[in-house]
Amino acid sequence: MVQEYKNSDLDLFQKINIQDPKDNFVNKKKRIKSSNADKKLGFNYALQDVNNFKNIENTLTNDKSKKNESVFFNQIDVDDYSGFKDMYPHNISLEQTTKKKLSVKKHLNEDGTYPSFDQDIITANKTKVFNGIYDEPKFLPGGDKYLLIEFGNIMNLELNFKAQGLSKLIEQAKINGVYETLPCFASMIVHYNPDEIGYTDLIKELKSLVKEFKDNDDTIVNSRLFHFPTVYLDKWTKEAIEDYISKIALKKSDPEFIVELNNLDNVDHFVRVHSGTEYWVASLGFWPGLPFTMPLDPRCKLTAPKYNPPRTWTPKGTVGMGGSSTAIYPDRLPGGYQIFGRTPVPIWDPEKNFDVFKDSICLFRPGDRIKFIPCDYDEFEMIEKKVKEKTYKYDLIDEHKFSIKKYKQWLTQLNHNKKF
Amino acid sequence: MFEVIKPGLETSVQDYPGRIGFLNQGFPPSGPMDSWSFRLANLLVGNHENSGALECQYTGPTLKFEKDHVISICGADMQPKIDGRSIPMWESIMVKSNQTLELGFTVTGARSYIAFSGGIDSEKWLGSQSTFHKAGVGGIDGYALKESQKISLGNSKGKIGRKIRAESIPDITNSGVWEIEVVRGPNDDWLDNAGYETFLKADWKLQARSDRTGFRLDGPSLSFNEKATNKSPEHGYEPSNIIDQGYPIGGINLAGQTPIILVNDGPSMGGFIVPFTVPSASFWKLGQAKPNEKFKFKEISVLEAQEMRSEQTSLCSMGSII
Repeated sequence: MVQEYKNSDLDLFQKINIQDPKDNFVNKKKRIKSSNADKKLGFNYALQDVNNFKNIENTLTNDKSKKNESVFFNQIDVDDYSGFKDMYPHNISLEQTTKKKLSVKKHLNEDGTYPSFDQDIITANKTKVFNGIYDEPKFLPGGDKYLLIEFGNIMNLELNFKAQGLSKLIEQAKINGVYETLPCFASMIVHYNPDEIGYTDLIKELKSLVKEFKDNDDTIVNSRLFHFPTVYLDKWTKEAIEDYISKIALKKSDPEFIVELNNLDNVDHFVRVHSGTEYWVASLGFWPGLPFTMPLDPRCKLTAPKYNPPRTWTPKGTVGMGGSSTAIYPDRLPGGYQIFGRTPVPIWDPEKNFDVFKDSICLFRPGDRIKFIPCDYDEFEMIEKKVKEKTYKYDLIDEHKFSIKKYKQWLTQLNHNKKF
Repeated sequence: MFEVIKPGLETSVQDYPGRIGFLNQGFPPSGPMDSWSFRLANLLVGNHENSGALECQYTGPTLKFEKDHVISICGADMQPKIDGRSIPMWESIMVKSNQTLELGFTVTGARSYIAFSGGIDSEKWLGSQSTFHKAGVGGIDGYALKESQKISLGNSKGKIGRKIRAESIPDITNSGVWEIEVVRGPNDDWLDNAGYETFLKADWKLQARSDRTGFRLDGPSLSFNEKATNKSPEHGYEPSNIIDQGYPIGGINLAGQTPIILVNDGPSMGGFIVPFTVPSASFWKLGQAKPNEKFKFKEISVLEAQEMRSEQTSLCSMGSII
């Protein structure tokens, strides 16, 4: 039972100006063939694994006799991946690619500190262009009504704590003319009314608040943990990717692309790594209720570029990543993240059909955590049915406290040789 | 009360300045694209400038009135008629009960505003009547007007025969070229000098299916600084990729090589750079520009943009009404 979607595609980022996409695609394909490089760029799902994919779906949905506890589970322990071995047998890119892999830089030193990027990565003749956390935040104008404060140019929890903490402080300061703030991973938007406060006065006020703000490792925040049943490498995102490839631009399938960029063994390995950590909700944005999250276990930090150009549609409930951020699409939306999974659980609900929405129509709050639990199509459909009947119970633990000090201690004790 | 005979093309209820204060849950402000014309329309019928009114896009609606009402029409010229007879724009006029107001396809500009004395009486959603129809919230049941809907109006009585001073009316033309002010930033230093100059010198063409969420532009490719290519892996390696950040409304988002101006219903956050931002005082031009028309960008400072805004605010006042 597949959920029905609105027929009208959303127009945001929609107009893709290719005169004759099909011809373009065919021509590209021809060019690749002639250079004998189709294996490198080909979309393997489409070219050779369609039957394989169908078989797997049949196995998962029809052949109940093959079910056993280790394969079909509801929840997994972080360190127990025995169940994965047989779950995604459609191993896509086994052939060794000759293309030079893009290097993915280390995200965390073994002693738990963050690497300083200007030492080993930037060659001697290049200037220092990024240095992690800035000594002084940068104040950057966004037209006449918005200001962007940038605290650094890496993604880590401390920066998000800073953005969230400062946002609270600004809210409490009730500066005349400041409407609201929008903190994200390493920066924050301040929305103000220039009729009430000028640009230079605003910066002066904000600078004094920044000075007042102290990073504090003793900070403890309430943090709810949500379990999200998710079908990884699913048929719906696959369809969206194929549609993009046939109409807009040739690209490698998203899961394979992530595997290649991050030096992973194969897509199964990717699923294990991606679902092996909790994700920290750093912010909501882009669309009502959409969470921008970062992995809490640095060993699970992956990276991928955003689509170029963006996709015109993404199925509702899609799980995707861009940069090192993971997001869930609350609705059928355009988007730029690489996509690879889908969850049946709604994350925004204007009708407030479930208890969790009683305070807000958006499920998440910054500081929540998400754990993606790989599931199969049967489970997906069962949950989808419960959601439709409004009987689904959200799988969440809401009494957790999150301490940044304890988190940092945990980072220093990580076994970096662990294989996911 | 009026009945919607024909809804027009995505005619929606908006108020000014829209849904403010919910950016951190992902809600854009919405509100009228050309807030200059919108505010004048409200003032003409004796409303507060922020009252709920209709935004008509390209093709206006046909509405049948159940009672006498003072209305005004400002913005794009959709050749408004009452019972088949042309009526003036930028002026408050009376529609009598059982009369039909009809707006057609636009001849000048893209968006026209119909204000009603007493305003539109619709439920506020998160503090605003503005329709964000892509997400199905606000306005009338979350969406644009639909055929045979009946929409309630407020009760206050307006005066007829009020007009706008000629010098207070925005200059909406059919020249096909718009000079649009931009402020540098927040991510202007991701472009190199050549990229920056190319952006300001080029003729940009507004793509066809631009809408209230984003205006896509066709034009040359832009070149980048080292900052865009040599960065931590969390950004994503494409030059236009940045660690996800909040977007200003009006931000010119560089998604790959396609600039997209993020307008009233646009996304609040994302992972592409924003090298320039269109200031609020220039939004009326975006609201009145039609697909395939040309944009030329002109750089101004933040302070100049704020001055322009306050000049526009003073034009949108009773001082402009005669």
